[in-house]
Amino acid sequence: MDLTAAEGVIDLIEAETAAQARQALRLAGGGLASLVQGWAERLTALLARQEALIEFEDEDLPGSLDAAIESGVTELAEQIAIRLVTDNGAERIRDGLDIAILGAPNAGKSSLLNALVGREAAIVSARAGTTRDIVESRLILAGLPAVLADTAGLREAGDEIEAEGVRRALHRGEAADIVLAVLVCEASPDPATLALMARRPCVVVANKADLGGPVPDGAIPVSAVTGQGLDLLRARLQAEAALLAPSTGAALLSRPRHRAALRDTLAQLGEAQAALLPELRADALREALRALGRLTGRVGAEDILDRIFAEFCIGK
Amino acid sequence: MTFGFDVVVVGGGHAGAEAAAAAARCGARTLLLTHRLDTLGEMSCNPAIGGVGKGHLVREVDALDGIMARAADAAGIHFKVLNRSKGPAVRGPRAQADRRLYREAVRGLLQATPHLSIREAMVEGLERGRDGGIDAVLTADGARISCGAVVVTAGTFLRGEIHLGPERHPAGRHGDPASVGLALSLAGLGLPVRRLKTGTPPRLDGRTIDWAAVEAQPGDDPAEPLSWLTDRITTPQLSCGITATTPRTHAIIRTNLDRAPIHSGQIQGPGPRYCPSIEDKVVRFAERQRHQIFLEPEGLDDPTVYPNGISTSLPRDVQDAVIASIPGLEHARILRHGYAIEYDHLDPRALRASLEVRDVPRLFLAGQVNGTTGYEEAAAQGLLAGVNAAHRASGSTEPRLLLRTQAYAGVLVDDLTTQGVSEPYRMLTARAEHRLRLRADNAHLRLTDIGIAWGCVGQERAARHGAFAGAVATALARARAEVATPAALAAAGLPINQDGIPRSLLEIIALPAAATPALETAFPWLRDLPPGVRAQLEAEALYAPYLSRQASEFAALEREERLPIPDQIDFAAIAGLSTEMRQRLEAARPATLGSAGRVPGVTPAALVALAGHLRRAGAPAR
Repeated sequence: MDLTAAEGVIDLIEAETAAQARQALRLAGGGLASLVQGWAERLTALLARQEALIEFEDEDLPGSLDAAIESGVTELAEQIAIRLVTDNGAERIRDGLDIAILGAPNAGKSSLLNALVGREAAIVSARAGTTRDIVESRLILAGLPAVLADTAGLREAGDEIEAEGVRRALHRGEAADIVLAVLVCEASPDPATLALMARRPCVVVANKADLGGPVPDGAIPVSAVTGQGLDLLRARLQAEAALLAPSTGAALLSRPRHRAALRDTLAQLGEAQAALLPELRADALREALRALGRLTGRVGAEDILDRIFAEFCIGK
Repeated sequence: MTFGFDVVVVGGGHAGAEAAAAAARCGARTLLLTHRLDTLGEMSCNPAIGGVGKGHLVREVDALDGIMARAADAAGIHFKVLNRSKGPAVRGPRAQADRRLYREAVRGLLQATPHLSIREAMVEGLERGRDGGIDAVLTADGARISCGAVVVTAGTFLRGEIHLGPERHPAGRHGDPASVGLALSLAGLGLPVRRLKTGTPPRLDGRTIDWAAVEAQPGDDPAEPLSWLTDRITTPQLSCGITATTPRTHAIIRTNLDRAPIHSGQIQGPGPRYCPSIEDKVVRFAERQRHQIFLEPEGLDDPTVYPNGISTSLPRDVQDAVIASIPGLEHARILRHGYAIEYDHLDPRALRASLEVRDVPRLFLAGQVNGTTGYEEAAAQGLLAGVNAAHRASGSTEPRLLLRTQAYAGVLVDDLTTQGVSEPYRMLTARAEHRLRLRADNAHLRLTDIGIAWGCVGQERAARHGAFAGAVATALARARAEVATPAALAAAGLPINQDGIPRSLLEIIALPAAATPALETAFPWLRDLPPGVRAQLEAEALYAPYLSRQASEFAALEREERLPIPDQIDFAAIAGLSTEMRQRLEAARPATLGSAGRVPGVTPAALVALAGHLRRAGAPAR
């Protein structure tokens, strides 16, 4: 079992949702390992050809070898780049979604959190500025675990502690997968929340719909008190979640280190494409192989020599 | 008859000659025993020294004041630097030598070495002392030679057996007897013995070759010497020829495959993949229409030609037909038929990195007996074994080692002693992780100071080296310190990116656009640099960005390489090591944490457990 399969087993034990379990099984069954193994084999073959050109100049090697290495490197780099771009749901499936609730003080953010998770997770009072630090609660959306974060209301802070709360709220909003912007039906939208909505795509609700008043354009009217509109909001959040973590069943890069290793591999393949001397190209290919090896296990010098002697008639 | 020496070297091939010369240079009273004085320095296979990887080893042996490069320079009749179109790190200097001149040069250099005696005798046994170590060497003529250390370089002579078609007979090499007594004696020490095979092509009479029908391949002009001490080559130079097998050749071989010992099952030992017999090539690469053959003259006044590329053990009549099917060789006369040889070697994992047998103190093994192939691999081991034997005989227990980060010779010994061999081991640059650093052109800068500290470098070389190394260091420092702006460079005629960033001369030299005349206009002092110093500057400039990027990794690796694993370590006592890991480490008994990491199959987790144990045990991380 290689390292990624072992990670799959750990993920399987820790899985909370069906999507997580399916993904963990894919990993544990060697899904990523076989993908990386395939790339490592191709890279080993490319390096073997490059090494053959270096070690055995006076042997009768095919003249097309150099061009074949070049196109092979380009092709491999493209495939890894495509994987990096398209395979972007697995980390979210494993680690879950981060949803930040933001809005003006007293918009009812904490009530909304409690209503969505169905328990009194956050302290609720009529006083603006009750929530100062971030309050987190977990729920499951479209088979994905999600962390719902209630934050301090956005306003010019009255004191230092509240100011820090607002700073954290905005920071959380920037990093979140989904921002849930909370407006209030009766009030005109506050400038801080509007500014956030302009910067980031948000799911917008107009709270306190039970009290009446106009609903801003594009906002879902909800009432944390009566439960009005909550089903619609849940459906909207699920749709957003599904968009972020496509359930195609092909996602494999479930940890940051997977992605980092592939990015390093890609960077080295770029070096190989730019290298002006054969030994520098070999050096870059070797580093690329090492980066890939960090995912599954290493490839030794002997593997490269095996390839050389299997492919070419070397020797006098 | 009893007498004594500090070091006795058994064998006068390439490993033995270097071992004896190195031990003597270190001041040890040394005796070289050979079964035949006139085969000292014999080239049993092709008459070439060096190449890619092998040339690196030759330069390293030379940097430690060994004799191989100097002998090859005296005897070389065709010099060529391989990979000349590639960067300096992978350029491999090579010389084809006149076989007789080479033997004479080796013999002359050995005879001129103080403290070294040479004697013709067949070694029959090794005498063990009370500690189990070797105290004396016993010869067939009844002598007992006591010694402080012995270096055995038995080559292919241990239970050697020659195969030529259905014919087979025991031999060490064509015309030489095998060393059965010595083999039995080594076997009696309980050393693990394995069998390997290698082969050689038929030798041709050059006067019967149609040279007009083959392509001529001249050597480099001027020839680049192998030794740093050689100023220029004075031996007359010859061209080689190039021809190739034909479909008819392949048909002849296919028809007679059942008569080839390697295919009939008569030979069992694995042969080298990079040196396959022609019958192997024809079987494995059936789609090829031709296999290249280099026709290498063996000497200036010797008509023998070595057809490099058609090593074979096919029966004599098939060899005759094969040769006649090759363009230019239609009427060539075979002087001696090719053959395959099977021989015993000792599993080198039984050795320490000093090449001393772990369980038999004062016994060193070097060369083909350790499972390597090639004169250069043998010479490098011989030199290291000779140095270590000399120090061992003087009572020192501290080994003189080269690391993988320092030398190809270090890569060689580490590979052998931690990985063992599954085929005759040949050096390739791909085996060196630090290929960009370990160049043939800087071998003396890497190693001569180490050799001086070991005591194996003579005064002449030490003096020349000191002056040269100083000049290189000065030039490098100056090239790092002097900077020029893009505008100044453009004014000097160097078209570079006008980004306004001043660059050091070292960076400028590395630019693809940096042509010599413009460089010299901008930095006139470059004109006055001796060519050798200038070449070092250019090579360093070329690789500097890569080397600096790897610098931190390199430092970490050096630390691992230097974290010793004590001899008496009990792998079973290390928590967290699986049975499998324990067995793998037991078999290889790596000397450092670095080499433990290269033992096949040892996992990173096992290394972490081992490293933790070593640190807890308080092994000093020098």
